[in-house]
Amino acid sequence: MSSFLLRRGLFTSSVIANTASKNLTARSAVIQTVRFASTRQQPQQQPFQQQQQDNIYEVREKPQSLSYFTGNYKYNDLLIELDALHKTFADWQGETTLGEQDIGTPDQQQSNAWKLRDKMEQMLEIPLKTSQWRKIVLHLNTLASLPKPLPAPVEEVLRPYRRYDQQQQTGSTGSSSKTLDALGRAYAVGRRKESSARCWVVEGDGQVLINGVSINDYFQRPVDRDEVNLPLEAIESKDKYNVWALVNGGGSTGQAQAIKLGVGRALLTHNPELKPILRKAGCITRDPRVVERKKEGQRKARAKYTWYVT
Amino acid sequence: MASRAMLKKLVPCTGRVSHNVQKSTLRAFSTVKPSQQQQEPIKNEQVNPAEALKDLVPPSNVELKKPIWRSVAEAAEPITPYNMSIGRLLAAGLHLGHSTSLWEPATLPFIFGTREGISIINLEHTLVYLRRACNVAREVAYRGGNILFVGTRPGFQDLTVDAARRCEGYHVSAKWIPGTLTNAQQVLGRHATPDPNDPGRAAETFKPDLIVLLNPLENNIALSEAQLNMIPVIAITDTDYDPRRVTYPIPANDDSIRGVELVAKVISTAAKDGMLRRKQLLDKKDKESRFIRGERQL
Repeated sequence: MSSFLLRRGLFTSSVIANTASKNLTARSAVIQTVRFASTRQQPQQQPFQQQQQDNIYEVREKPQSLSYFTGNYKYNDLLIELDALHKTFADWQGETTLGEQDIGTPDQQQSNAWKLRDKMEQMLEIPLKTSQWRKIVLHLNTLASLPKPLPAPVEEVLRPYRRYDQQQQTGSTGSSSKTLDALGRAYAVGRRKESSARCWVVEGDGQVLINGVSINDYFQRPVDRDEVNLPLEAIESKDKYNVWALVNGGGSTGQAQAIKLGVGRALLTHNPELKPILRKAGCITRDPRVVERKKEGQRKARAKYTWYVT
Repeated sequence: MASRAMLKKLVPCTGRVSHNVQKSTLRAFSTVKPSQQQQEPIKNEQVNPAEALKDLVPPSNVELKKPIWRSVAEAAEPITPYNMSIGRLLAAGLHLGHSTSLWEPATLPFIFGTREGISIINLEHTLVYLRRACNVAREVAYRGGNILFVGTRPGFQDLTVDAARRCEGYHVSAKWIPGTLTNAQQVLGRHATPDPNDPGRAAETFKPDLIVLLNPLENNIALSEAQLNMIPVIAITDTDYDPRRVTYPIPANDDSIRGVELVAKVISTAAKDGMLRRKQLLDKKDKESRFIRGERQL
């Protein structure tokens, strides 16, 4: 081909040499860029059949996890593990006898406090999106809703996922620093608006003294008297405790509600199991409402100046 | 039916059948009664149909046929490519194609006919293509390849994981993340544990050598990624999917969970077979090399 073209004088020899060499390099480039499915570098000079026969004994490195190609394989493996555990114990019947059945306190019944997303991420060392965390919690809930008592392997698997694990253990031994003093008095502080009340609650016969004055003399309005008596009436022990309160600041309503809060907290020191009852009565939550500040350009906190059309 | 005793009589050393034997065998096989046997004439009285059909009703102590949903999991016969028959494929519902109005004309060679508005897949072809797919899986496993089972429909999760576990393969039973093969460094590499000696280095990523797609209709991205990376694909192609798009199609019903479970089990059993043979091969080679070394030492 090249000799013919030379004779015709259409191309110089250098051009022909260039094109020939370009073809050669193109061909070798094609051989070098053939890629196989595995990431291993293949030797380039052997023909294909020879490669097949040589490689059959080669032990290649393989991914360890079954779920490697799902992306976040640790998360996927975890879901499969929890699923498999649930399947193993799908027919579990609880082993409690009728007499000893402990339904548990209302807190424990339906709510399982699982670790939140960031703590769970930390514990599992797996990056978790919120949707992924929710899926894990779904699986944990299905496991935890098996008939009680839970089988031992299930309990063991669920334990590291529970929130407040250490606090529950120490809380039961009573490490909350509130205790009765030497004379059997419980002390607590309650606040509402600008009032603050210091309350001492001790076992007695039902007297209530506020700033040294009996309740009926201090509070003229029955509403305020009812507020002060509310915590003791909620637990139906009006005649079992004496209350001594020192209150200052604010007005009558604020002071009454501050005493209510203080007495409620003091009663918890006496008996922590009263918490759900007092909470339902409304003696545990500190009412955060205070007077809102006045803003400039407005008449009061919210009231605006009249808008004129001019 | 001829008994074995009768058959033995048919192979005398002379090579000829005796006349008496001939007559008796004829009597057994022939539906037409010979004239020597006098048959009683049928009476004119009314024949009770219940009485007549009593022999066809199975006795009550016989177990009823298992429902389809247990037919694969609790199969009495093992599910291997060597035990597959058209009857078993039929029982799993693999012959039921999609509605004729939704058909893909390229599937015409695999369609047996239509009934009740759906196309019926010819199970003879299904069996042949299934066996071919099993051979591919077996050979890939024999050569140490990675087999990836992809089944992303909600009911396929368990069967995909089981199939993968059986043959030490891999699975994708939730979503196929786009870029698993073409963007492996970001999708797969980010979850790899860094090398303790060289933490800055990019993690090594792996690719499968064979993909078994149980629902190719929903996994176009997986299919195109496999094609870009020159990975062969085995897929269950129903009558609404073009079988020419995959390397090794299996024309079968992709909607029935039991049907797909059967197919996945068969392929994974074949792959397990190949994997075990490879282990034997490597063991043998290892023993040979140790033997040779032992000789040299002596």
